Amino acid sequence: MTHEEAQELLGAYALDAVDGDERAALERHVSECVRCASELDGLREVAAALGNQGEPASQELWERISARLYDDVDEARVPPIRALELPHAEHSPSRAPTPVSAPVVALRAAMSRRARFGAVVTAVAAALLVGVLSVSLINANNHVSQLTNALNLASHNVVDAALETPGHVTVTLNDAHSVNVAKFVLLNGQGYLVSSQMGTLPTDKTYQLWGIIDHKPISIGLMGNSPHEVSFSVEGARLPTTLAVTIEPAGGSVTPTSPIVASGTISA
Amino acid sequence: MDQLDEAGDAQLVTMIGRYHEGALAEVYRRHGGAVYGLARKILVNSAEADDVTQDVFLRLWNHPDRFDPSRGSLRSFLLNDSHGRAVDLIRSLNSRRAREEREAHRSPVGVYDLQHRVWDLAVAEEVQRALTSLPPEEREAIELAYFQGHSYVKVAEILGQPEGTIKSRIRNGMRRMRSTLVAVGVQGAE
Ligand SMILES: [Zn+2]
Repeated sequence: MTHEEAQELLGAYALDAVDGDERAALERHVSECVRCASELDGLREVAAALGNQGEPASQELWERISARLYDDVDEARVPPIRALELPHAEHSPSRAPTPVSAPVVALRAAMSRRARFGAVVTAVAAALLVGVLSVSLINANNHVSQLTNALNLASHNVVDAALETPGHVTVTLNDAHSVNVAKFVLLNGQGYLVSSQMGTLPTDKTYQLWGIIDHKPISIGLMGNSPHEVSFSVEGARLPTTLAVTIEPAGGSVTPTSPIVASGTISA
Repeated sequence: MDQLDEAGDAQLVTMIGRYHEGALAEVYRRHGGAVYGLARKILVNSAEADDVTQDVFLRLWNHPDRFDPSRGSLRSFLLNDSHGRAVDLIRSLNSRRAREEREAHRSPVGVYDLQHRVWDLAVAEEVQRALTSLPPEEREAIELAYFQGHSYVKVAEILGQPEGTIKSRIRNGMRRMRSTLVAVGVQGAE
């Protein structure tokens, strides 16, 4: 296709109104002709302006889209898969919450101790491959969204009611010293933070809650830098076997970027 | 997530390159409604418009490198993607498609901030004015191609005009729109 022929067609092409061989020939020319490429960019802006109507996006559609994010993931964009050995947390389902005298110190101690297990930590982080996750199992609109706003003033009643309802499951999260750091109650796909010994973080950090499914962490959401009222929903064919907490930048992370500071297994 | 609120579109796309789901959510909040609105205008059918919108955002998620900020705004990029997909769909489906259906209940995601909304309305007004000021035969050809999803060959057939004539009308009309919009300071969809 000559430059003149291409020039004639650019307007229609910007409107997606050129088909077949002619379209292919035009695209070939544009890929080699700086002037046509530049004019086309301008015409495409006009086309977009024609179709630009501001309106709010729908929440329902976002839920549909976010459930599909990991269906087709380019593995070149994520770290290679490494064997994952999750640290086994102490599990003591019937134990009452243990008062902790110096929770912040305990957390810090846990972190520095983790640092010595660098190899394990790296393997965990590298294996948190998003490509094979099936996030749709956990029903959160935006898995790095804040969880703390979900509850209103009635939260304590909700938590108390859940604790009194038969069939609830409590999950105790311990740090590396087996010290109880947080306790959650799960009931009918809803989870609530019952008690927390998680110390206040700087404002540019947040605690992030993860569910482990098939040894892979899936973000449940952010708990803020000083978790108090947290609720979330967990549903799907396969539920997480473990809850884990990491400390992340305030915006949250898609995969954990720091060692797990507390974890606990979920047993029905 | 205040940082995401304040991040530029190009920055958000870079974060999407690292699978930052919150960044995609923010792009959706800003542009999802426009992407959907255009697809629905062309397809009429809201279920098909949902599919197109989903495709557009999953494509951005899986291939963020397709967006080149030096070539135009993210809104324009997404709208052109939406248009291309809607047109592909309309040309691949037969004419017995349901051309209308009840609009399902839709709850808006987050708050569409006033600043963007006002800008959108202002742009839409300028674009409408530019379109209206075109010679009627140029405007007609552009509207048949863009909003009805017809190829220029089909537009020529509909209007009973030579293909070359329609090509020129579209080209001239689009160039005229371009200079009008640039003159009034609308470079494209922000
Ligand atoms: Zn050329």
